[in-house]
Amino acid sequence: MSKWIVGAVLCGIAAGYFILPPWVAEHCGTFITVGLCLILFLVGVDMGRQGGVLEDIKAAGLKVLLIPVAVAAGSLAFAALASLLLPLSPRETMAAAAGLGWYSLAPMLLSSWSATLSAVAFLANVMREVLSILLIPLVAKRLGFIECVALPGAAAMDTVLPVVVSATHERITIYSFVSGVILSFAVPVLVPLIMNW
Amino acid sequence: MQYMDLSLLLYIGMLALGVFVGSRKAVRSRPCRWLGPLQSVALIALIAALGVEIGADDQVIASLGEIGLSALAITLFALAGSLLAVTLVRRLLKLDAQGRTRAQREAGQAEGRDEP
Repeated sequence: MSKWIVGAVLCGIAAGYFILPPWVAEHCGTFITVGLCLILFLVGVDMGRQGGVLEDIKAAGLKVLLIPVAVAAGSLAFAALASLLLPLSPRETMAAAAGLGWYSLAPMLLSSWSATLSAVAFLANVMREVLSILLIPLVAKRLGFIECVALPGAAAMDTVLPVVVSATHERITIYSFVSGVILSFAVPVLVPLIMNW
Repeated sequence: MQYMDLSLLLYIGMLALGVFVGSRKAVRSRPCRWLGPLQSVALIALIAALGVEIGADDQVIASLGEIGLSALAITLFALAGSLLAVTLVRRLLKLDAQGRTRAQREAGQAEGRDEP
């Protein structure tokens, strides 16, 4: 899937730059909003079919809620540090990292502020998914199973979930799923919150 | 800003609507094998559209080298930060490297001993 995604991004960028007339790009915004609604609905259907999200959280206990909090806090704190090396403000690097791997939502949320920041957020979050898929087996072996859940961020509930479970143990499914769900709900709250601070 | 608030509600609403529809018995009892492929196709179309928007933006293309490095730096820092925070929380919760509580670990060992 990640290969397809990288291919789609590169083909899209190439098409937008070389081939497609400007009016196509102008209509992309509407298309993206509609597409995002469809995907969110389908993700919701998947979650509903897999069984009660709330019951799963209860079964694992309240402790499990600390994991997504740690993922978000660690991501944002270190992203702020990254601004020391970059021509970006801590607010901008934190906003990009607040996408937490949800590369289709974060750039959408940032597009009204700046196209460049939106693109940084998009690339950073695509990279987060690709790198997490590459790093999960290593982290499972060297650091710990729960830590694997931290890497994909919001994607820990869907695309990267099978990668996490196959590298660790079935008991980690609940941590991965709960963390991903909570972080997914956190993205549309955190990004505007950081930009309006 | 108002647009942002509205779309935020729209996105959360779509997710919640999906959960509601998906948890219906009539939907849950069906295999719905098309669900995964449809999601993948929609996702790839969305990503391609995002690519088109970025590719058509001259300002973005002009600074792509800089953007690529910035994005990579942000990602590496965010990954390191979240790993550090989660490993601290795991130790605080007294879970072992395999994510087990002490009780789970002892139960696992007891099971191991009981094996013939």
